[in-house]
Amino acid sequence: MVKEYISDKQGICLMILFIMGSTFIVGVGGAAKENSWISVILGVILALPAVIVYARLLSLYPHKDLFDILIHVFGSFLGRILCIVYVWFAFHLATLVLRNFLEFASSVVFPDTPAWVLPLFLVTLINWIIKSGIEVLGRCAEYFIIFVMILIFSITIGLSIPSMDINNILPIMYDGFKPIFTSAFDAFSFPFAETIIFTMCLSSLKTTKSIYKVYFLGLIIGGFFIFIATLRNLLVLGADTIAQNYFPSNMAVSVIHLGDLLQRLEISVSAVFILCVFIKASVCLLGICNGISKIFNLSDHKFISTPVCALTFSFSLFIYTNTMEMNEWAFKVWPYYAFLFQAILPAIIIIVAEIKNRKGHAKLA
Amino acid sequence: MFLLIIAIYALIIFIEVPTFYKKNDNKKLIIYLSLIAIPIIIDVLLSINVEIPSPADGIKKIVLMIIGR
Repeated sequence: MVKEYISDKQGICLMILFIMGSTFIVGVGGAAKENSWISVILGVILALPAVIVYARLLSLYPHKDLFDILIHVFGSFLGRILCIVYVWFAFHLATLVLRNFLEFASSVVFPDTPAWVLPLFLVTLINWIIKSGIEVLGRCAEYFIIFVMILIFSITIGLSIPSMDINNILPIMYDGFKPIFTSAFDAFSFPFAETIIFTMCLSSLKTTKSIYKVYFLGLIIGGFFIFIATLRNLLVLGADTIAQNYFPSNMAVSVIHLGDLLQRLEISVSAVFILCVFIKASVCLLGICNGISKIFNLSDHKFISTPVCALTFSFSLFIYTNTMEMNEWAFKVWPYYAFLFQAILPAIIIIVAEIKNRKGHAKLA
Repeated sequence: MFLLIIAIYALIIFIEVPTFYKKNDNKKLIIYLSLIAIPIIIDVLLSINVEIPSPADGIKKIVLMIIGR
């Protein structure tokens, strides 16, 4: 099989869209109320060490992905168990992302359509793009990012300036540091440290040095977008309205009314959301397919994509019963649950990998 | 409804399996069929309105037990 490669720019675009993914619509840092913009910045700073670990892990073993590294470092049996754990994590994340999209579509965009219709089409497209390979995904991301940037900056940010009110963010740190740290932890685990998924498919970069560049630039630019979206939501809506809404970005843009011409612009948010969710779910599913083929020691990961996509789609239909449960899960359980996969296990893996590397067992077959 | 689901999955299997079945790749065939059996069962059960217990509830209980809330 021919090895596929993506350029640095494509990697960065993928990372930005991945980070924006579902966070752009669900919002982040609800616990900190007026100060959630501070907690986004703190979340990026907290995520930097984690990202250094991921990038170091990939640069220790060039052109190998997480599953190769696990099997090489921990041996055939324990490595495969850890592979299954990470496949489960990617699978759960993909399910969560699809469920987010399903809830958004069925409660905001198309309330009368059966809920499973839109995710079915999305999953079909994702199946197609996995079969086409990561190169196509990278090129898609390169084009999507232009569209996303234009929509975010011109329409959603530019046009909502008239309805902004600086008083909405004003008592800065009224409740002290604790809620800010809590929601910074949420922000760390919900969009930023989820980039661990990229260790499952970023082995396609051309040089080893570029992994650091892709991770850092992707994290900082993606974090900047999240920061801007959070600040805009706060300035337009205020903390209390955000607490009552499951999809604050949609609400914030629907406030825009400029004459009779520029109304109902929330469809632009939906467009951005669909593009980002498409990229995020594709990256997750690519990781799953890659992982399953590595667990069973197969050379090809594309043949498995249809069953995996169908499985993710089916799970997303029944994993939560309603939007309230999804939101509660995403903000109360997910940070602690994901911390295991995003911080604890990578720390163990990097320590063992460094020890093994120093001893001179670094040569891979 | 569940007949439609089975028909669609049968079509998918009919299109995709021959691409690697012809090469006598039994390992791939087993993995493919066992993976696609799960969504077929889930979708058929969902179409006849069976409530499937969600794995999210169990994980939630375990996580809340560990962090102590």
